[in-house]
Amino acid sequence: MTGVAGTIEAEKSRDIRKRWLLSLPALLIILIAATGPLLIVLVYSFLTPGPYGDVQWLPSPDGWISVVMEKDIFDGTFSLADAHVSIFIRSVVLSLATTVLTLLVGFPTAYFIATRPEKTRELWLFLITIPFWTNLLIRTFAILEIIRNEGLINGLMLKFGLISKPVQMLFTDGAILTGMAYVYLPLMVLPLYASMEKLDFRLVEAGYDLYATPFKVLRKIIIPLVKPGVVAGSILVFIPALGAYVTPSILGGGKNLMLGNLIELQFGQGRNWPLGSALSITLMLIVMVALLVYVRNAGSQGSRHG
Amino acid sequence: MARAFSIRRQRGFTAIAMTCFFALYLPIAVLVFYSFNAGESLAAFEGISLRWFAQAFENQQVIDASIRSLQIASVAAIVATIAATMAALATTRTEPYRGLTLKYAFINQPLMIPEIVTAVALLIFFARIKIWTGYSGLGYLIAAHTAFCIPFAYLPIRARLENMDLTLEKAAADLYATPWNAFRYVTLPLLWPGILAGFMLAFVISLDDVVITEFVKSAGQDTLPTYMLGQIRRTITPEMNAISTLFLLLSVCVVTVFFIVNRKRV
Amino acid sequence: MAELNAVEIRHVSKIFGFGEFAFAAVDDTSVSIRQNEFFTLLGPSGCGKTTLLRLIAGFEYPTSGEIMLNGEDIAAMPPFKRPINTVFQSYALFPHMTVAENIGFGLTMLGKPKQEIRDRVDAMLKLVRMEALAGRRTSQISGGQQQRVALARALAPQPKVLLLDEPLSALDYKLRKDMQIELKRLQAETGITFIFVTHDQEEALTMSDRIAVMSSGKILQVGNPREIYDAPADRFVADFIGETNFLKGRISAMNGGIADVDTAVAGRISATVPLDFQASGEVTVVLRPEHATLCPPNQPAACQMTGTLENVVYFGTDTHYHVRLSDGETLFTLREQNKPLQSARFGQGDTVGIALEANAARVLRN
Ligand SMILES: Nc1ncnc2c1ncn2[C@@H]1O[C@H](COP(=O)(O)OP(=O)(O)OP(=O)(O)O)[C@@H](O)[C@H]1O
Ligand SMILES: [Mg+2]
Repeated sequence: MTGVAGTIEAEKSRDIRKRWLLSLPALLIILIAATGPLLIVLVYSFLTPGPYGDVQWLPSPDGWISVVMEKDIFDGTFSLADAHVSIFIRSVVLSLATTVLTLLVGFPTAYFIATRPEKTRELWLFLITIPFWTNLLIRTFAILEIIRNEGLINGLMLKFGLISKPVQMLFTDGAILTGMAYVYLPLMVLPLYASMEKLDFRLVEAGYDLYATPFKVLRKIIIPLVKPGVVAGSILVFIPALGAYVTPSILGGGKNLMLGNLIELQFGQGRNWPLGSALSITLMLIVMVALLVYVRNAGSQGSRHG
Repeated sequence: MARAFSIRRQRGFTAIAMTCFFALYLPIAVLVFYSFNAGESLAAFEGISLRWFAQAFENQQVIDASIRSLQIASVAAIVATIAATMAALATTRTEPYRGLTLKYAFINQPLMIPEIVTAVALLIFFARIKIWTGYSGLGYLIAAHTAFCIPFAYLPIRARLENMDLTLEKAAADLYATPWNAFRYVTLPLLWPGILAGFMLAFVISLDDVVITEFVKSAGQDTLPTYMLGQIRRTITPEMNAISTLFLLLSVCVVTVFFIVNRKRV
Repeated sequence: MAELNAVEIRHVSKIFGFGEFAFAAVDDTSVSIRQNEFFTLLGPSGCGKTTLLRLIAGFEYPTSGEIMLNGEDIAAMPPFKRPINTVFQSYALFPHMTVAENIGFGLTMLGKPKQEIRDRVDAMLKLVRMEALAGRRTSQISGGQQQRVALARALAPQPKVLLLDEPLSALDYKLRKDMQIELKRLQAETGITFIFVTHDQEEALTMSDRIAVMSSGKILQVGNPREIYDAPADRFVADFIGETNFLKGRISAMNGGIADVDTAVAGRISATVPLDFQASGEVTVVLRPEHATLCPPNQPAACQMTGTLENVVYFGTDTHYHVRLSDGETLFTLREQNKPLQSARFGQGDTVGIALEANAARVLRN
């Protein structure tokens, strides 16, 4: 009797040991080349900048202080670092605007795809998937080609005499917003589609049966039912938008910085690795908060349906 | 005549969707179109020519960067796929056990953190290691790419495993297959499309990466995307369009195969 | 020397969950299954049939107890070492292999020579009449054909015991009837012990050599179909198999195997008594609906009981009558065969008498 029970226990622990062994390579690679270095960033944020980049091993809170404060060179007093604060604000506002814009366009698009007949649906989905997996740099470049001073729009307008000199569209916040909305749109559509695909249209029928207008059906039935998709899509757009580096550096130029560019600056010309590290961790914390909101939202959704 | 009422229709949605698809493809179309432009300016299309493609093919920097990109992507995707397959086998089709949630968190960690943060972290970490070991080869880029490719390779493999009918393996065991034989003759063949999809995702993700590569690379280790980023920041010639067009073509091919493999249900 | 039992289950329990969630899916069960018999596990949904089968197959290990195969304890042996094969409820055919590859899988795994495998697969295809579809993918054949392939696949390695978990439940009525006959034929031809799980009592009665009736993880009665139907061991079995009327009464006299039972609704009736039955106090008498007939209420000599006809249900071959007995509580069911072109003799609301067949009633063990 105990013999059999013993075998089961042994079997179980052998299985778990095998499972640890199997997952070891993936865990090690990620530990070494992703998670582990994050801890070093934390350490670096409390050190003193070296003269030519890198750090000196002297503990210092300056990195963290400089995230939002500025030390006056002459009298050593602190004041709010307007430049950094405005970059923080720009990053958050642009990311939120990107999220809202992609949601406004992405929702009807996902709905459109989800309501296609089985056969054509695959095709539409495919058309969204292609930009999803094509190079973000190339897609940003495509936008650049259209809006730069020598680009398509200005070129055509000049040619037809609508304007006499190019309109400056590049290197503006509008350019960054357009670019980010463009490159992150597929990230919004795909999760939205995933939850709309599961939408039970008998519920929509029931709504119409009970005298709801199409708009009311949308507001009271469809949107609440696909809310997990809305939340997932928003998070998937917001997080990379907040940390965006390529798009703002190409379309925003040297002046319209976002957080990603500010961080890069500290490791390049700024030569202030501790500040760069502190900014990175700040960015990570904001993202964590956003993820937490998502997890809690998704959790409550799950329990309500389960 | 009034349009028949459809419960699925929402006013204006189709128009927005059409605009969306149009807006998604217009810039790409312009980019591809002008890569065949004989002239230099976007304002005028001066006839079809392959001149910019020819120029790209003669540019040694482009060729080197492309080869480097492919090398890194191949190695990183293969290693990541193997590691992800093993991890997927270890984390699916089991009762929850101690450490399972930790494993999920770990494997998906590269997806949760903004790329720029990981890039900075790796810059710092690898800078130290370079000083200690003196090694400054492609190994750093390959390691970094492998790490962020793992969660992408893991996704389709895990999905496939979770949808797999457990009784098939039971049936194999019933028919005298040892655990290894059951894996080899039943699990692996059924998992194959997932592994292929995972590999292709990892490959494309590695090929496309800009941010982490930009921070981790040593001098003279440009991949095609980081080379392009450098060029775009300096002077833009239609040669960029030609390179982008070729890059797009490659991506579309891989994605198409991925789409077909992943859609097909056994 | 008595022949060894094919499978012997000794005090086997299977407990799922721990602590307050612990639940015995199989509860201290013992049963012997003989060589070459068609043995059926019958019981309502959730009673533990599948669990018991999986214990025999080796997909679960018992929490306690022994499982013997031809006298050898196999409780802890992994499934791929047991000479037992299963026909899965969902068939579990390998979708990436052809019909022939599926059938040959077990023999391949056993490392049999190629030629032998080919011959055996051919023989199996012939046995289940699937020669024409050998090269098809299993996703390209019908449900009934999949069923045959699953059978052939399980039979190909010539197991000592074949386990079948509701193999016919996914088939439509006509196909199910055909496959029942087919299964009987295969069992007779191969001489392999079949352990068959079903919750369809008719299927169990028509196909089995012996039946075990299960409820809540326990086996209540084992016997051949006639014993199970005519002499149910207890109220659950009597109720689960076929339709039954229960009448309460007291034994007033015992005469060999026959007892006189005084009932409130039917007066004194004679009923068969189980062997070594100790009469004491109140007993329950069971009576199958086909062992009673309606009679006009004005012939008190022929009718033991009277009541009001509440419901008449036409069934094609016969008609069922539900009669509210004179005590106002008991609903008595009886069944009469239909004769061609003869309308029902009684209608709803009529007062009717009921005549009981002599010695058809049976006293239940309490
Ligand atoms: N792995 C498991 N964990 C927990 N409980 C289980 C497990 N497997 C089965 N059970 C429980 O054990 C009981 C018996 O299950 P089993 O599948 O043997 O029933 P069954 O007689 O085959 O029913 P059915 O006719 O519906 O197939 C059920 O109450 C079931 O919920
Ligand atoms: Mg069952």
